[in-house]
Amino acid sequence: MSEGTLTADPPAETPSHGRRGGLLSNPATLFRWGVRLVIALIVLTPPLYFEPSWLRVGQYVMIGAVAAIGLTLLTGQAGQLSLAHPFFMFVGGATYCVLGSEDAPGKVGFGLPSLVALIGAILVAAALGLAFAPVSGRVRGVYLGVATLALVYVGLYLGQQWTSLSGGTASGRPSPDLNLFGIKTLRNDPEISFLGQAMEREQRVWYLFALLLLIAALLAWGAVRSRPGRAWRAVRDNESAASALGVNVPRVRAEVFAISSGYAGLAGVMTVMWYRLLKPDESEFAGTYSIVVAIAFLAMILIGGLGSVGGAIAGSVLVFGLPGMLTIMIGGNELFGTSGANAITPAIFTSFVYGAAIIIVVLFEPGGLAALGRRLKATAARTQLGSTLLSPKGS
Amino acid sequence: MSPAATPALQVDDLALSFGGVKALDKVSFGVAPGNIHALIGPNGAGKSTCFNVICGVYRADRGAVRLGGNDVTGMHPHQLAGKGLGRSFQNLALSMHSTVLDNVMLARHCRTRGGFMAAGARWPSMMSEQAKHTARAVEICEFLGIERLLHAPVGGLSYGDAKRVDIARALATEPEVLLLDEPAAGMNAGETAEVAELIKVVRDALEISILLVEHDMTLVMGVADRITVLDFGKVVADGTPAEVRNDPEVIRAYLGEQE
Amino acid sequence: MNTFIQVMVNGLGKGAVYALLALGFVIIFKASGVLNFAHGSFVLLGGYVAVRTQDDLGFTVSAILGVATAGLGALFIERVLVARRPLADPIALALLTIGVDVILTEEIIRRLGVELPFLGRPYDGKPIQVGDITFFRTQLIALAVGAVLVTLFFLAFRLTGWGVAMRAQAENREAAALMGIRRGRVTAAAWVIGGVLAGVAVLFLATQDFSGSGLSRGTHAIALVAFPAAIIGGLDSTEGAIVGGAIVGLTEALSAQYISFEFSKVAVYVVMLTVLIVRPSGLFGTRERTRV
Repeated sequence: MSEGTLTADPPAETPSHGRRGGLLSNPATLFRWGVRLVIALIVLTPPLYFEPSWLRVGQYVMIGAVAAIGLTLLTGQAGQLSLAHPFFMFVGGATYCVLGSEDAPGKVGFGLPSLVALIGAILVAAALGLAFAPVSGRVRGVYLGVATLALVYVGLYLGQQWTSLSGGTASGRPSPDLNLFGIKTLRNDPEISFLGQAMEREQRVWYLFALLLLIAALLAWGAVRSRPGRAWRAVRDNESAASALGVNVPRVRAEVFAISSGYAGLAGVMTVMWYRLLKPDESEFAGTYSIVVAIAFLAMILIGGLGSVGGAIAGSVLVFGLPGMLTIMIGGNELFGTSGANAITPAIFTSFVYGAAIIIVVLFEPGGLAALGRRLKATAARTQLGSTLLSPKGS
Repeated sequence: MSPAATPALQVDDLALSFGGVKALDKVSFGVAPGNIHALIGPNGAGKSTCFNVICGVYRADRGAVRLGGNDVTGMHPHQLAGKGLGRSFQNLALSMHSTVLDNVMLARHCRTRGGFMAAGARWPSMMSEQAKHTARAVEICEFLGIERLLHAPVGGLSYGDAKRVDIARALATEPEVLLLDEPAAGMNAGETAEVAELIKVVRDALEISILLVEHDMTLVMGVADRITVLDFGKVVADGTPAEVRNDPEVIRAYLGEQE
Repeated sequence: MNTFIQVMVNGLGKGAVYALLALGFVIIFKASGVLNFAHGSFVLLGGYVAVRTQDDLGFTVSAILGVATAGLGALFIERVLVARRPLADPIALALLTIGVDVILTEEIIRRLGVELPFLGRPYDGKPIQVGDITFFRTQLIALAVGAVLVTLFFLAFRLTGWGVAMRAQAENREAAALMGIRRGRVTAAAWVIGGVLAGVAVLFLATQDFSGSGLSRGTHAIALVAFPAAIIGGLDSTEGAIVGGAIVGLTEALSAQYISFEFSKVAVYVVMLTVLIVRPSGLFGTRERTRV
């Protein structure tokens, strides 16, 4: 391994020897529960207190997080560079609309239940990812990165041409509402309230996305820490060793590509729900499913720490969250006193920030935020304050 | 060793050419059950080629490889792991960022089941299977004296410890035949002696057969029950260390190399 | 038949520009092992300096200035960022250049604002009519300039000390270092050449004849075809870059004429995928040897 390998592999699978002294006496366990509590608060409370505009920023972050988790499994864990994520997002979004909408003039629709359409969208995206196996199984490293770029162009072309599915670039097609066991997401039907707060569209979408993200993250964590994750890392680190130890390398490569595509497909469904619209891009360099987005996902996983699920989420907070947060906070679209066509918008400012973050991570902290977090945790556990906080019985 | 016993590993009449150069030519030998067998020869004699054919990395033009009586000729490396062939690597080929246990557990891949969904959902049958196999992996690490390093990343280990991880990983495939690729490469005399001791202990404790491809003569002469000597892709001698040591062909092959 | 000839000339003219981009890209990859995602931003950088100075200095001087800036920009990126991590893994370095690309591109696009300035005043938009065939001057000049630069490059690559050092380094970086080849200098020179070629390419890219659009994000996107061109030829083959550029130019022109304009961009990538499936390291690329 060269010195510059980027990875944020978790110290995989720390077995729970540490249960011996009960829940509270073990600093690591306590720390883990503390983190879980904070996460639960971050996820559950904002719909009660925040304006819908803030909730929409959070929803968008969760879309990016789901996509980035899928990409970090592929690129970080299995070592396959991919720029095709936006394509699979588009496939997922389009499949969701096609399966979940009623047939309309000029637009094909199957009118299936929306939950079936959601799962169908993930499966179709994953199946297309698997169909890419002749390339993803054979082509390696940077070659694969460029090969996947092809799919972005294919998606752009199909989206523009195949209007009966995509709705076309002019008007697109509306997103089916997600009906989760009788509770609609995009409409207040039935009306619900939670702790005195009416659950309207943005609150509902928030909780739905949080649920999807939770499932996506739990699956990824479970896989990373056991058999599939070990196979991915083995394939990434040394294919001949992996193969000699019984790993069917081409198969694992194809599988992880399919899994990653499934994540992108789910993110695509979420995107369509967020915009309440599926709209194919007009160009390959600007738009919802463009190369720029592919690069944004790479930025997320790199900043978060390649291979780290939590890092992918953190990366999305920065890359997908910052523009929206800045726009709301400054109440406009111009930063640093600029204005007009040359203004530094929150989107441009964010690009500067994550561009710089990528460079800093590669040069100075190859493990990304995940490595920083681990170091922080280790330091906290060592210091006086940390040990007091973390083990109430003292040492 | 009874002459009737099926060899643990048998190669028959292997031939392989690279662009007209015969890397292997009518190579045949057998590794008797429980034996430590060494494959030696000067540089470029075809040792590594032969090793790679046995492992399934190269496909021979002709000939057969049999593992405990089963024909495994032309099988892929990952299939061989399930058939009882374990191997170590000269350059270790470990995942440097992963822990020792993680590296060793990889070898249980072909003995376990469960894909992304089962693992992701922490399916109970998969978790219990994993726990069982983790226990076995820990046991193997204890056997090799690296149990205190289970959760350490491999990248920080000494070379000797990393070599043990490599061997632990090979053993974790539960092989009938263990192939060791130049286990003493890059080691000093003390470390080489340690490896020699380890090889014997492994054979005695696990009752497996070991095929050793090695440069280091002291190691080979010290541990091998039987030695096959290759030169220019052909078997030039096959016998006990004592027989091979005095074989004029072998002496010529080695002296020839030094000119 | 006349249409066909015209399409072929246009395709080769485009191919010449793509070849320049791909060649620069391949040289950088060969010397430093970096898949340079910032190539498109070198194109923009050269173009930006040229359009900003062409009113005051005239086309020729501004073009030279643009080309020089692109070369120096590339050198700066190599010295300040890439050279700090000479042994980092290829994906890390590719991501590093993505970071550079994002910053540089966004800033130049922001500065351009709503303007889409055109380059190539002396030759752009002045087609030559021969019978019923229309030749675009931009394409013809691109072909000529491309031919001259490529010839110069290959002469330098074969004959100069730098060329020898470069080839040795591409074979084996550690061995070349042991033989006393100054890696830093060879690599730096490779980046300068890559940047210069990108700076030349933009003089033809941001024209009415070539893309119908001035300097913009679209120019950056067109520069991305350096990727398929380089991959088709083989990432580590300079000859392959030329062939790859020509293949991409012709594929684009032929499919735009005979299938549809929209399909022409995809067609390039379809060709690339086909090549990759048959030859995972491109037409002329060295096959990756698996170490056991």
